Amino acid sequence: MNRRTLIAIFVITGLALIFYVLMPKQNKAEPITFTASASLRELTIDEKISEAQIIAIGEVKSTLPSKWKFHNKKDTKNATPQEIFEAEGLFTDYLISINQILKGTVDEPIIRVRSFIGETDQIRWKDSSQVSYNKGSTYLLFLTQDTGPTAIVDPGYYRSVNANTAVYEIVDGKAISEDDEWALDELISYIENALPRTPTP
Amino acid sequence: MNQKTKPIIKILGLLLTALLLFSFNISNVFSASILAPKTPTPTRTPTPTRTLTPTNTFTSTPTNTFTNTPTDTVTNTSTWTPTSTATATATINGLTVTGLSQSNGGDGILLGVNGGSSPSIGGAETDIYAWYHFDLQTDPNWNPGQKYTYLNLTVKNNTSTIKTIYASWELTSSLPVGKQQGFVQFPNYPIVWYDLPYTGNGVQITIINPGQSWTFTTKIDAKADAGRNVPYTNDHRLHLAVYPGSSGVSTPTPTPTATFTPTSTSTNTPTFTPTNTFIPATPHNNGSGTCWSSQESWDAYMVYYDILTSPIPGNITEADWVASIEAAAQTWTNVTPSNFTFVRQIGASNTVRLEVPNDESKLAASAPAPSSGFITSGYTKINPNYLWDVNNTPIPGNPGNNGSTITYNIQNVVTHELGHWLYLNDINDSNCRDVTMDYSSGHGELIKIDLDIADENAVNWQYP
Repeated sequence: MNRRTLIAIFVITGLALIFYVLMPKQNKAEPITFTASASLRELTIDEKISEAQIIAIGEVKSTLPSKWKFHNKKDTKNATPQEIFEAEGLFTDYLISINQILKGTVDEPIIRVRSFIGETDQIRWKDSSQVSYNKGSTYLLFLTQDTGPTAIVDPGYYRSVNANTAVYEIVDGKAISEDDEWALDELISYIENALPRTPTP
Repeated sequence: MNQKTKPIIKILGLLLTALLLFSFNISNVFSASILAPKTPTPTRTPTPTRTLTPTNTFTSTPTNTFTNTPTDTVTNTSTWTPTSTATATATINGLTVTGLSQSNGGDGILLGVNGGSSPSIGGAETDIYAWYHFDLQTDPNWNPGQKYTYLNLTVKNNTSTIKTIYASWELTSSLPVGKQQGFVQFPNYPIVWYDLPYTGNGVQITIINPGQSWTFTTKIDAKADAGRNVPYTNDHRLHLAVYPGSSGVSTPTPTPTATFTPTSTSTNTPTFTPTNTFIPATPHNNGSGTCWSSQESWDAYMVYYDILTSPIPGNITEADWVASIEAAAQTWTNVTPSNFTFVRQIGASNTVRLEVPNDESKLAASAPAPSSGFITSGYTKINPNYLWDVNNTPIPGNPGNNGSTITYNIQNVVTHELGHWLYLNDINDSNCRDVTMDYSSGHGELIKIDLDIADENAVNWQYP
């Protein structure tokens, strides 16, 4: 290897290193974070049972892309942060596989449950009253079909009857919500006893 | 392979080597390019993060204090000392009688003002009456054939003689001894004589539109014909009466004859020289303490908001609705020593309004919008799907509740929501159930209307 060859190697390697160093600057910007807040109702377990159309235990299978209230008119990725802020942010649908139904009926073994948080390339919409469902986790959910302002986008989903106080994550045999905690079997038993008994044919 | 192609092959080989050197990065390089398709982000395996016992502790302690105290006072020591005095004289009713004199050869003429009977005239002009009064005495030696006597009445305007009037009497034997009447005429001058009924009260004259000073001079000039004895009179009186008219004569404004001229000028210009400049502190953010925590702050201490009142719940008047929300805002403004202030301003972009939140299970929803580390706007939506009340009167035995089992108190909830405008976080802690920022509200609850010490600590820390 002669001298010219060595120089060529150094030059090319140097260019490669410079390109590598500059690369992080081309990463996308951090999304703008909004944090919404709420006043929730104080609901007893009996009130949750009463308000829920569906009480079910299910496992989160997947998370769908976040959308906003006017997604049908303008795709979420084209909406400005200000527009999304004015529209009270993003929401996200989660696909949950139903393992057990304690109240009501569902047409499909997998249902969509909406939570009013989300994230896109541009913004991150947080809300401490909302449940961020974890894929693979199991929840006992007090659900109702949503008729709220976002119901025009992908209808047919459910929402919690009282935000994060009506969704119980099941961990180590316990059912835990934002304001409540039960032994899972006790909670199931309580719910079953609270519901009117269906006559056995 | 000849000698010419060898170097070319060497260079190509080196290029390939160099490409291999940074090939480990090549996928990253192209993933940043708009030409390359996006690589899906691997889904993270969820890790249960919930623990039964909150392990976070609040260690931050608000330490902000105010040390700037303006101590200046303004003292002006200059005084005003006027040396001249102002005097003014006014002419009453537009007329000044500057002199009244008589000459009658020795018999006294007494002056009276506004005496005698009231003439039967009126009108717009100011009238002045003067009449002469005398008692005729009969000289025992008087010959009734000598029957004339005279009255001279001289009218002057200031120093100029306007008119001299002569009045005469024919003294007849039939004329009773006693009061007699004289009469004068002023046909060519704005002095009008009124012929009084015979009352024995003497001569009367009326001056119309007096606007200046007048001087009256009266003179009794008793003439004797052919050396006859002159009847003499006594108790001569000249009467003046002034009757202001209703219009036509303006009442002059008193004009000061002396001008107030201050001889001393204030030369001491008071200057306020602050010895301490008050510099507001910078709002803090992302703090925490016992039963409170916060995120970003507004970059100013004064936040403008408006209340949209269309629609409002049918069971509540607009006035009560607005008053409840304003009271909620004032609760945060009242926190001391914090300088944070809510100001209601019609048309402000930050609004409290009745609107269904995206999650319609919420009683109310708020969202402050941060930008560049500061809050730039905010709103609160109050859910109209629930029933509301404005009754802040607690039931006996429960100061934190108005007894309603179907409605939510609007001031209770909005006070909590406006705490979010300050970017205070919801608190869900069994040891902090009485704080305004507790995340949930029950029917009839009033407890959030009054701030807890934790709420005040939060504001004082966030907005010192």
